[in-house]
Amino acid sequence: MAAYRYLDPADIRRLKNYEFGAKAMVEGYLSGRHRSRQRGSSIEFHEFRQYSPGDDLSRVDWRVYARNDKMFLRTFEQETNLECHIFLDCSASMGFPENAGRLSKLEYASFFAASLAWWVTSKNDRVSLTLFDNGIRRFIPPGSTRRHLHDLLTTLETTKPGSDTSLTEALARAHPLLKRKGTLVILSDFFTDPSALFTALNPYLHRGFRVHLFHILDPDEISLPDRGLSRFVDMETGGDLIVHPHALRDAWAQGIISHTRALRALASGRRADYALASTADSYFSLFDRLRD
Amino acid sequence: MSFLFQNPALLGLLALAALPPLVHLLSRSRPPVYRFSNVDFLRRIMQRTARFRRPKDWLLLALRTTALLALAAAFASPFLISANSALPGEKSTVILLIDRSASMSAREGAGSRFETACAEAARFLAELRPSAANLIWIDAEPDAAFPEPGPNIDFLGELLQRAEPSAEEGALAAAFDLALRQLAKAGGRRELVVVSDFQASAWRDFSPTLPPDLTVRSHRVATGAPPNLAVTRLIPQPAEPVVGQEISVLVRVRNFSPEPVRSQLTLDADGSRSSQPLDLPAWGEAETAFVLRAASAGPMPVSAMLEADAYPGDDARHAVLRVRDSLRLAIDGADEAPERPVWQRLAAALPWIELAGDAASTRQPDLRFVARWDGSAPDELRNQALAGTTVIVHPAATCPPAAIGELLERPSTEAIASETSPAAWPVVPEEEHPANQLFRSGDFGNPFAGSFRERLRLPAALADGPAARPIARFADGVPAIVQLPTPGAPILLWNLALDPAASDWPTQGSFLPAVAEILLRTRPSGRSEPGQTPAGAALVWTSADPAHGGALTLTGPHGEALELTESSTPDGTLWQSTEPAAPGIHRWQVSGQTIDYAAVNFPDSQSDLRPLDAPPGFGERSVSADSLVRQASLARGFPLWPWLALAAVILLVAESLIHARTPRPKAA
Repeated sequence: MAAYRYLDPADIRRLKNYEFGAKAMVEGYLSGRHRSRQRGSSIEFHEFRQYSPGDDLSRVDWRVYARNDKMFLRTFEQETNLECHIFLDCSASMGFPENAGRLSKLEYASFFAASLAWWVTSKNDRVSLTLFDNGIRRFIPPGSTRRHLHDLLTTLETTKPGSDTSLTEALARAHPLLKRKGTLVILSDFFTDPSALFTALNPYLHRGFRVHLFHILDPDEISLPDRGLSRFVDMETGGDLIVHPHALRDAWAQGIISHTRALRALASGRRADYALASTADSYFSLFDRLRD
Repeated sequence: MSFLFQNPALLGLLALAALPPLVHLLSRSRPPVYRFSNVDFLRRIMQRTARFRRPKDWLLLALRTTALLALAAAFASPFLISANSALPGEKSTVILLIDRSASMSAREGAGSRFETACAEAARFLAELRPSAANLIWIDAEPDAAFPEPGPNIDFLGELLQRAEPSAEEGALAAAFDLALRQLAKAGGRRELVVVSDFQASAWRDFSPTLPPDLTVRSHRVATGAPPNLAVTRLIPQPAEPVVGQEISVLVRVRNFSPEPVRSQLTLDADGSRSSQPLDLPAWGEAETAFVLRAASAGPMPVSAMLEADAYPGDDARHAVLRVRDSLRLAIDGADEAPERPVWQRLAAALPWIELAGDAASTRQPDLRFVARWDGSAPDELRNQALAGTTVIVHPAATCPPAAIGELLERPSTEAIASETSPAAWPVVPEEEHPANQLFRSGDFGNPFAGSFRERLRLPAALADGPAARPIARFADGVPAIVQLPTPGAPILLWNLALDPAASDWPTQGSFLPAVAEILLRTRPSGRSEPGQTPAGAALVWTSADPAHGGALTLTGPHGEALELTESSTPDGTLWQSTEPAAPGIHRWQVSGQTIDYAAVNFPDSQSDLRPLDAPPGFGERSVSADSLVRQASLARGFPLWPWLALAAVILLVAESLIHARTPRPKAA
């Protein structure tokens, strides 16, 4: 495999032992490891049912017919592949911090997305990638081939932070693009109204998507940076504000806690998963949330 | 107070104070840019908390600005100087008026007021180092150290170390006048420094007129009023007794303290001592009398002494009694008057009476009897009484009532008639009069025993006047002898017949003692102290006796020989002491024998040690100084830069502490 910026061989070795455990049944076109409520041909027996005209005669259990002269169809649970949809926020705010000598939120999220994509495709599952800011910047449909993975990784490498964020808009536009329900992994800094976010997620949740909200924040966003009087310039809007960060640290931290608490509460109520990830920590903790 | 900057050119550094506000404003306007993910979120939070952090920022800004101000001011080397001080390089003349009157010898604490004043003045001069200075003592005769203010400050300092307080009053007006005369000739800045206890009794009503451009500093060395007892009066009665006569010495003592005091008063009369206890109320006085008799004629020193206290100068008072061996009697009136031989026999019988001949031919007699006065020259008689001669007037029957009224200053138109009575009129003594005291017991009979067949019918009102003191009356109320006082000696109106044809009283045994008692008891009694030399004045003795030439010496109260100067005058040779007289008894001696005494007393005005509540104000440019040394320091200029530097350091430390309590981020 060619060297990709966001795919670390050490991560790959570590991920080989991980099992992607979908909590919900998924629909897939490829018979595979994951159970599906779609009836189909597989080796897992599901039930018998009486023959109806039009049924495929090949699925009639002739042994049962031989014993009791009734035609029953033998149905099996169809094993299908998993579809994982990665939503990656690539708005300007995800470029924070700039020139700080550490990963920006976008880079951190890209590392995680790349690893997740490799992991999903390595299990013959399918993965899609949606890059969004105030709309959908790029959509890579689900796929599980190496070629697909290469495209996806290459896209991540070439992605730069864009303009302002509109996650709700992006979710609304992406909904028609996703043919099958699956796991929805949203990587964003979620500087948006929590209520509006879950309003936008409602269609996905109704369709049975398993939703993971991974809240990516830089340490300087969790706690304001230790610096003097500065002119804070918004990376998305360009608006500025002169402020002593030290004087606002406590209030900021309290504000972030309130914000994450609201997100977590709403996620819990909608059976969605929410996790706050600091770019200073390893993103493997997020994989742990996907294994269950 | 005012400021003087040694480096005014560096005052521009004060502009540094604008640095923190400028940095503050500039840093607020162009702070480093920090690209952040969500400023809206930050803005909402800042709007909630901004109002809580501003005060701390302003406090830090104020501390930094003040610290820079203090630092910049320190570089300018400011001096705190007295508003009335001379500017550097300006000529300054200072005259120190130092009180060395008797009250300055009072001790307060470890030293006397005068020691405190001298020490403070010496340090003041040493600190200030004026261009020219002089020292004037406030005493009875103020004098200056230099004829005019001079630059020799060290000499004035030595003079202050050697000085002693006097026992004199302070001639304030003369001292100020001398100081102002010297300052009038001085140029540059002129200053008068008054150091005194500002004794209330001396300074209360003193308000000198000072030039408007003269700076006056007044420094009070008295902090309170030490308790003090003083002998304030010593009055012998009579002032000039005769040998053997009973002398009553009245002594008045005053307590200048808020507590009642019991003390012992001792009278020393020419070596004979007697004592009496004395109870004195707070801030009150008491008077007591000692009785003594003079054994011999001549001057007799008398001293009244209290137990010594912290202010001993006024614990004793002195007087010199002039004891006479006889009183001179002049008999006047008609030559044929039958009373004259009676009075002559009387003078011969009494050893202390000396006939002086006619009044016109002799100098002032002590007694003058005018027999059968016809009413002539009443003014002359009255003037003689005023001069100290006891005038005994026996009016004639022809004496006009107006003359008697004029003599006694009691106008009367009532006719005076001579009347006789073969049965004689009895005469009754007035019990209250001292002349009859000897006979009050009855042991010596009736002083006026005898028959009086002739008399003048004088109006009874003469004996009933407000000041008249009847000595004897006829039984029907007609005055027999009436004492009428004058400011000098009394006038005795005599209405008792001494003619043997009209009275047999002169032949009675009681006649002699009765007249003797009348003559002695009507002698003028001293109401004031006998003549004394005030403390500080020179003692003077004049003598025409050639035997005194070169042999006369003066001995002080403690037996020390005092220096004399000798000069010739028309009255003889005059000796004068060169040093001011100290309180006590001084002796004029010839060949070791005392020929006279001189009493010098402590000025009683100096006994009340209470100072004024506050030093007197001497006009707009006067300064009341708590400490002359501090005033000198201020006058020379007190450097403020160390204090300003210290203030800057303290302010910066405070700023750092506040800053450290809330750790600041590293520079952006």
